[in-house]
Amino acid sequence: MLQHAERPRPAGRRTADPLQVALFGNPNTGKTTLFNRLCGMRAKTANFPGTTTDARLGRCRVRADLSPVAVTDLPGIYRLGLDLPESRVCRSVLDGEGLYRQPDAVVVVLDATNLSRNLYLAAELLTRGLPMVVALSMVDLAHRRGLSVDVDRLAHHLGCPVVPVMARRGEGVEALRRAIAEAVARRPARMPSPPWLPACGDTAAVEQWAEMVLADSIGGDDAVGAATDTFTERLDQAFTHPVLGAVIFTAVMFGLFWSIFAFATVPMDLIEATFEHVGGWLTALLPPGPVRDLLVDGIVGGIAGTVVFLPQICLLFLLISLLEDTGYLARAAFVIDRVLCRFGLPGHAFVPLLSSHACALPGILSSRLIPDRKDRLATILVAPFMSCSARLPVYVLLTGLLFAGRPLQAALAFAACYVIGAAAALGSAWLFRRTFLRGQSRPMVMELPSYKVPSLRTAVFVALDQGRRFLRKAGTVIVAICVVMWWLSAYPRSEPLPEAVSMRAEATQVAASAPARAARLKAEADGLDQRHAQAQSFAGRLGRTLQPLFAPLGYDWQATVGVLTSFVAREVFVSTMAVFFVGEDDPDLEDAGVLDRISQAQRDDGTPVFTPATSASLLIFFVLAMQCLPTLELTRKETGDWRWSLFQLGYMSTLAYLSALLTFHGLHALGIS
Amino acid sequence: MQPTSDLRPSDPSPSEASSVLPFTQLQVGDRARLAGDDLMRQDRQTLAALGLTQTCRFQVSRVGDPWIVQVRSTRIGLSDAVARCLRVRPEPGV
Repeated sequence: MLQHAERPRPAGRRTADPLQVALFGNPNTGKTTLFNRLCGMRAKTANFPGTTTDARLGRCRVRADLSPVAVTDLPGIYRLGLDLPESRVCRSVLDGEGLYRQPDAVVVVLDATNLSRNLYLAAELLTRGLPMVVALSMVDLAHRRGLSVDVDRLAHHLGCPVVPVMARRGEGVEALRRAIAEAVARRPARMPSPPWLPACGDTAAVEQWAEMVLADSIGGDDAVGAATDTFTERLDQAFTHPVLGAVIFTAVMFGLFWSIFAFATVPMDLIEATFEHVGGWLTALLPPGPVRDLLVDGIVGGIAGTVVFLPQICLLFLLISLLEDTGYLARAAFVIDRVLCRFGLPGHAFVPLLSSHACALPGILSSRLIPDRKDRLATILVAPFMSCSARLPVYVLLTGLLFAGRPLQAALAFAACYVIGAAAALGSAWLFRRTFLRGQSRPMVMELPSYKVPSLRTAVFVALDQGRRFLRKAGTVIVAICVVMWWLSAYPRSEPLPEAVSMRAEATQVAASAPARAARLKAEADGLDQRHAQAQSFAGRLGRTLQPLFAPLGYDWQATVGVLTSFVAREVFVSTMAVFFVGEDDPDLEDAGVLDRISQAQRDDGTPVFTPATSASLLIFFVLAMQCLPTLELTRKETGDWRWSLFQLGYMSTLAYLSALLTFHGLHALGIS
Repeated sequence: MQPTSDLRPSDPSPSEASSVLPFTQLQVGDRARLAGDDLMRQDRQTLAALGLTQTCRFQVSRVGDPWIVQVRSTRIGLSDAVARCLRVRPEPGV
């Protein structure tokens, strides 16, 4: 069993190790809801070594006189014997193979409304001889369908305790804890399989056994499970209809994106304001010098640049979890599969691509759900084309420059960026599946879970967990990148310009008589020095050296510096441009004065930096370019080969460059320069 | 999709063959059992794990892409590509 995902210990239990309980069950049985009830917030997500399979790890106190037991929420599986990664991991855990320690007890969650299928997994687990407890979930739903469950009969057939639970309301959870406590106390004695249980290799016999148990334990009109649920039928007809289904899907996606933009703005503004205060406090507290600059501009700025994306990521996963819990997402996957399969992607790629609109990191992690290797690889390679949160400030700046004073056109251009990104993803997937990833996407076979009211509690847990994972995976890397970028942009130090020195002297002279003019002079002097410092820095020198490479795209050396620095983190572009043209690294882009100053920026020869053609070229470049080091690192980790990361970087950069080139010269040819 | 002959269920005998239909000929409300398939191993395993085996009766809830069948309380969605690979034996009353 996993002790700690990052440091697995050898198999074999030591006295000091906590008792281990493994949680099994079919998908969509409420297993995760039950896990959250048992372990609460004290849980984390870990990766099984050597696989791309995740599990949730938590602690649960099952009895006052016992230390908390370690609970592992294993991936949902239909059968242990399947040749699928999740089933293989579950078998390895059960057998205590390799790095895994065998659990002291297992809890299997059975869906009371779907027992005939769930019992197969229970039979497989019983033959393993480990102390077992059955948590019978969806009991409330079963009651509503007129099903009556004889728990004692079911327990007799299974030879282990059966505890009805309604995890969403917390009912039955205490009884389950007591049953778990009794089960773990029986270790290390091996439990004999019930003698009437057929061997699991005999599929037909096990199915017959399950039918017998079902007939003896379940009563009610729907006991056979053949009754037609009219409500479900009607919803399925609507959600999977070729036209209506697509309309509903579009409306749901529009609502989802609107919600993210509408509700994430306030917490994002709060986060920015908080870090501004922290930066201001440090600036006032510390004496001027490299330590203060490192802390304020490098570290605090870097952390702020990471944390500000949390609201969008958490909100997106909250909404996805709610949608999934309703049962709608499974139907939506079939609707979108009709589109995606034409481009070589499976319907399962829908959630990873959707998630990538917040950040490609959780999107790529979500691709672990895709069963086929080529399908998963294609999804990972194209996910970064989806316009993520980090691109938003760049889009706001460039569409504002392109359509200054015309908000409707700016908004349409903004929306077009999303469409272009998605089109590039689909087009690239189509190309990949006809070349080095030859083949069609795997056709979909999927259970359509029952429709139900979603659990907000579960969705909140999922959102918080995804937020923690983002901070863990991206936070450290992005902060390190920001520190490095700060250093490249700040060093070597340059002396103040004579012009700036005289401005400051004049400001000192008029400070008493004309304080407003003095403040303006000081701000201008600071801006001059900042721009000069940027130009003389390592980043600035690199920009001047590589500018001829980007000249065909219409970029001067300042825009080149912005593009180069944003290759490690996109969001750096706006602050780089602001330092050059506004004199501060965190301007208010909604301030028309700020946009005016950027739009009026001039090159060394006096011509404008941001002509319409240059702005459009930059916009296209940022839509298509791979500019995120954490994503490249995750691609390497998930694909197991650094060459896929290199390919991703090279392909997207080439596509971005050529598209920007075409855009710039195309607009010139049309007389729009 | 390429069939995996080492795991393909046995083909129906000549006397049974006449009652075997392509899955895609079923209509809404029809009941049937699986009689064979040309699926990849993993897809066949997934169908079996979901309860769609040759011993289990299912009912068609929706025709077209996706096909939806109900096996007891389980509703299973099948894309057209999967449905075209299935053969079924209709139950009486169809």
